[in-house]
Amino acid sequence: MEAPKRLFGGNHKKELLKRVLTNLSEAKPSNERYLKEFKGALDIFVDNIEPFLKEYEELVSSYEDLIQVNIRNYQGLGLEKLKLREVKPHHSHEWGRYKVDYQTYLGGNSLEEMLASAHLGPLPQQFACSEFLIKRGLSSSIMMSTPNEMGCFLYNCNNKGNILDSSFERGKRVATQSPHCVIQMDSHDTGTILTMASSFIFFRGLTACLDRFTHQLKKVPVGSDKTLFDKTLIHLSSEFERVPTLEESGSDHNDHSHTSSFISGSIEGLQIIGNIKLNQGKMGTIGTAAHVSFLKRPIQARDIYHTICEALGVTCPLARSQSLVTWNKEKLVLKFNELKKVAEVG
Amino acid sequence: MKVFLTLLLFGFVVGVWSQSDPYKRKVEGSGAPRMGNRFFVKNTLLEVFGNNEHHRKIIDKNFFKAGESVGGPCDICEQVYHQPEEVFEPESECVGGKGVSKVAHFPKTNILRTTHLIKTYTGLVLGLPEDQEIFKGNILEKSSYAFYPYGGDIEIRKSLQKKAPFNSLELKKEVLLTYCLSPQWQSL
Repeated sequence: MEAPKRLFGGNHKKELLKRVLTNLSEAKPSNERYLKEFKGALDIFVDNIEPFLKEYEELVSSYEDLIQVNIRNYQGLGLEKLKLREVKPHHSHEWGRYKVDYQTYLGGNSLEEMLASAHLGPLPQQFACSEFLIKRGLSSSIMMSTPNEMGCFLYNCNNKGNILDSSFERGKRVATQSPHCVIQMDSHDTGTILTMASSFIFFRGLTACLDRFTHQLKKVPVGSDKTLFDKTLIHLSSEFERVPTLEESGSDHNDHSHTSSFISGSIEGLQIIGNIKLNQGKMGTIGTAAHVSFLKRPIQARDIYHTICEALGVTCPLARSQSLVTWNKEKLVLKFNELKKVAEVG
Repeated sequence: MKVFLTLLLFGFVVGVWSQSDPYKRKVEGSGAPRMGNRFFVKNTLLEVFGNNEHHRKIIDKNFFKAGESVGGPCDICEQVYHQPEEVFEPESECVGGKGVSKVAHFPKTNILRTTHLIKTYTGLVLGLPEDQEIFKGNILEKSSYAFYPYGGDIEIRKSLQKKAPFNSLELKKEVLLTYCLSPQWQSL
């Protein structure tokens, strides 16, 4: 990659500006903030962003290729074993623009054909942007809001079931019929099999991106014995877990359960904590959060927040919360280690 | 004695009251000084370097057009004060390419502003020929008068004096650039 031109000309000009900066620093009282910005301007800015844009486009392509390879890999999904089956009628919901009849997804379409149009939305751009910014030190905090496990998955499903596509035109709902239907929504009523398949493939694509991202961070040295991966905390999370619906129509919110994953070079090995209550009647084998003895209550969002503060070395403003980790010789270690089923209800 | 005590108490009360004045605290605690906006900087630079097309071009390209970073909203009333029954560029927000009407009048210093300044000053100073008037005679005195005609640059002088005599063009440009980039003349 061609090195971008310096904003203020060649080395000669930059040396002159450094001398000017020194002159101003010696003139007390100095304007500290102004001088810091002066130094920052010399360090950060370049004349021409074309090489940056080219680098970003190359990153996007890399992530796009990675995602396509992984989400077209159906190994382990058992597609060949899935058989289309008749499911019980269920009252379908109006969901935004779409009138969803989950039965049609399981009838008449090959699941593999349905998944052939899948993509993960802006995920390649999000990862490319994050990698670019973090590696160049242009940001210390990035948030990616990825598509959900159903969104962007099925764009060209043959509309053999003649789903009437509902849309709003001029303030009125209008039904249109198209040879293709687009399934682009939450997974409450899209059918359990489709939900399972899309989740499987979504996480395959997402974890491939995460794997590449972390490997790129490991290549950037920080100091003599650390890498950018050691200095970065990745928090993978959603609002809550999900629970299959009894009608097999998909999955609903399980707001009694949440999973957060932390990824960093400062975390040694794979560690899992959290207790689960099983057999909660209609929840089946899906667990809900249970008390942990360390907290005498379930782990809650405030504790996740406190944990992030502890990892970043900032004071947590929430008084009634606990960090789940502590620093020990430059490594983040868990303060407790509980992972079990508790309070089973027969 | 009694009078003295009363005065002391009054002074104490006033001191406490002024410290508790939220407006005063807000102004003093802002942290970043307010800087002259693009109109202020442009006028000063044209005065120092000369008001000609070449200098106006450098300033406009590198500083004046970055209104959002360097502050200085245009006066949209200029649209109206053109002719009694005429309006400049009815579709435009600002007249004459000044751009942006919704930016700070006098912004705080920020890295983008500083970057634009550096670009502008290096364009102006490094492009000056050797026979330019400002390089004749004592460069320190001339730069000081140009940017601090009423004083206020004692510390800058002390810092630069160590490099005297300023015999080379390179040193002269360094002096001028130091004065250009010094923040005091830009602060309000």
